[in-house]
Amino acid sequence: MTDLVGGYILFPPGLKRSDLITLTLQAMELAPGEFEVRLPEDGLPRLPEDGYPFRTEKPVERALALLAQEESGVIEGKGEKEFETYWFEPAIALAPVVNIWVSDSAMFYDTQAKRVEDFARRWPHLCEQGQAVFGYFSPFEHMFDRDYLAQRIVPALERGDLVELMATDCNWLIYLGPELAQRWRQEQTPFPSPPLLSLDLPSGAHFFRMRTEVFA
Amino acid sequence: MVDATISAFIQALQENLIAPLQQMPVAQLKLLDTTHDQSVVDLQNVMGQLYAPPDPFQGKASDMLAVALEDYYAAENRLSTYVTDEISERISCFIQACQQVVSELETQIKALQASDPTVMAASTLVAGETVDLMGPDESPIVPIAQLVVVGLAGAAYIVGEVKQLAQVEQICAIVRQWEATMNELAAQPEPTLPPSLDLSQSVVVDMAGMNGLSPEQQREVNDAISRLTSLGYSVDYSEIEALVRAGYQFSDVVAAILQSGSFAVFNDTAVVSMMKQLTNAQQLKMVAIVEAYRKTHPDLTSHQVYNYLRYTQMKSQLISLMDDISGKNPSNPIAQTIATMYPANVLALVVRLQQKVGNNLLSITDPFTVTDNKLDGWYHNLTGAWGEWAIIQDYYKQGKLVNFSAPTTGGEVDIQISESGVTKWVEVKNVQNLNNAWSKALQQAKNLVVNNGAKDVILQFPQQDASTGPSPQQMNNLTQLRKAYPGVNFEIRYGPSIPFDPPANNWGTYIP
Repeated sequence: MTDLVGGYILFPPGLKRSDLITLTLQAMELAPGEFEVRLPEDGLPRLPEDGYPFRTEKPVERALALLAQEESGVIEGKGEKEFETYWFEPAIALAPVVNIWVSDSAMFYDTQAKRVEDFARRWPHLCEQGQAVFGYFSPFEHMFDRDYLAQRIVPALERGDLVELMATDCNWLIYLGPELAQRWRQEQTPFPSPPLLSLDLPSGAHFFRMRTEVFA
Repeated sequence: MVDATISAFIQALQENLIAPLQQMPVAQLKLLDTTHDQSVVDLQNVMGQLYAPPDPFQGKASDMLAVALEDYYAAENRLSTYVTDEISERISCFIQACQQVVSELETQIKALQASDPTVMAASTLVAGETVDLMGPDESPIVPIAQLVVVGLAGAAYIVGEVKQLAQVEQICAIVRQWEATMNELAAQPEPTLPPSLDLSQSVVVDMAGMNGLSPEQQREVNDAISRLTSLGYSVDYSEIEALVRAGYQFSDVVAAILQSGSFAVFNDTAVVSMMKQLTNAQQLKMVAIVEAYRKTHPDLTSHQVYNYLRYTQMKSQLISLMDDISGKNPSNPIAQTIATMYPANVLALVVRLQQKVGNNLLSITDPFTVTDNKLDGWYHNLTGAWGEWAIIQDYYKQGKLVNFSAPTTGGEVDIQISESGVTKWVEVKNVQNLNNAWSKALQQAKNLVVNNGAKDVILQFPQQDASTGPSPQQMNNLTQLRKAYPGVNFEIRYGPSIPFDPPANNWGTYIP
């Protein structure tokens, strides 16, 4: 019963891929030796629905440089981070995106509390350092499929539908960029139950951790 | 025996026949008759429009109505015999005969009165000297003229002269002629009326031909109408028909939906598809639940009702699956054996299912508020676990099962089997569409190789076959994987054929 948990983070249109890669490595604390780069061959797969990239290049600096040039590719965690996968997918509606996958077996709180807490600490750093527009992390695979992003998240962003965006009954982590956070403070979007953590961040953004465990 | 003069005879004629006939309301009779005639003409015009182009009434009901109308027009024609738009032949004949007898009698009475007054005054009706004015075979039976006729028949005249006798006989002849005309009119047989229509049957046939409902559906509509009208509810035929057409099969459910004012939330394709899976009693229970909820939540939507039903079905599926995996299903001996042989694996699978679906799903207190995202997410995990469990049992039956739901470095392996002495790692994806599952399956395959040293990896897709399996691009991706790990055997395996959905037998029992 191997499933994934995960979610997208959408960044400002001006953010370069190379900067996004650097930010990701820093914020998610992926030190050299703790990750591997997987690249497409002849541009494929371009999206997860086409497949998974398997090509590796040495040294890692070269692989990272190639990843910055490719339309897509992944950074896989190793060692302590071996459950984590960072998909650098093509931008959507001009917004660079990172799609984060984590093996659900690493996120069960009864056996992996430390790992869960560690991830919950690092994830908002990536959003904040990248000045993300919006980010979410869900226990359900369908919510971080590309078509969900295109059909649900992007339209909700365009119309400013905070209820749809936040999906507070499902998402485990939610990051509202400064603009959305300001609107949220004005609208006070209701929650089905109070979030475990609700933090105003220095950038003006807001971070929610809805509950202790990824799964409700 | 009457003792009277000629004058009394004339007076009797005037009082008992002439005066009543003169008072006959001819104008009103003509008006009634004309009104009746116009009603028939109006009916013909209206019905004519029903059958007129461009969209004439057609079908079985049309044919049935046409026959009924034809019978009616024929009977009506025989009864009224309208030649023109004026009064009917029968009424015309009656009025004419009555007016004519009055006119003729008045003429004859004037002539009689013009006779010698002394003779006339002296003439008396005396017993014993009779002149029978009725013919030998005639009998005085006409009710309207009875007084006169009886008087005439029972009268005896002493007639002073022949002329007077002839005048009296003339008068009696006129009366008898009128009497005969009245008898003839009265004796005319009524036209044969068309047979009575069985209206309930005619409605069934009518609507079946007209609105496309089957006879069963039309009966259901009729039953629902009867139920509602007997309860004093005003009936909206279109709503009843819409519900029946949508697929509701029980008239009491249709009536209950309308009675509770919940038409809008139940007249929904998705809701109907779920409701149809319930028994009659369960459907009624659901209608009652919705009715009660709407009292405090008047904005309840059909989608919320659908989600309530979907949630209930999923709850049933989850509990059944967990019982089955745990070996608690007495009708599944395979599962019971697996539970005995692999207790730790079974526990791991059940715990994961509980964590990913059960904890949250079973804690829901208001299923009307469950969102699509949650239901979709639970469903994905539930169908995934079900597919995996079905494949585990299949490999067990083949004698190949080694391990399942076992932790590995970097995750978990779905199943391990042994084929021809070779241990193979199986990743199961029970999905209807490979698009969003493919990359995850291949990443998992790669992880089994990289992190766990797997040498034989099977990607098993029970819902696909060779024609619906991976796309060319996805197969190209598999080639990339094989190239990256040349010492590993990666195999795509389809089937075995299992339902995509976990079993959900009689899930309506979970409706509280």
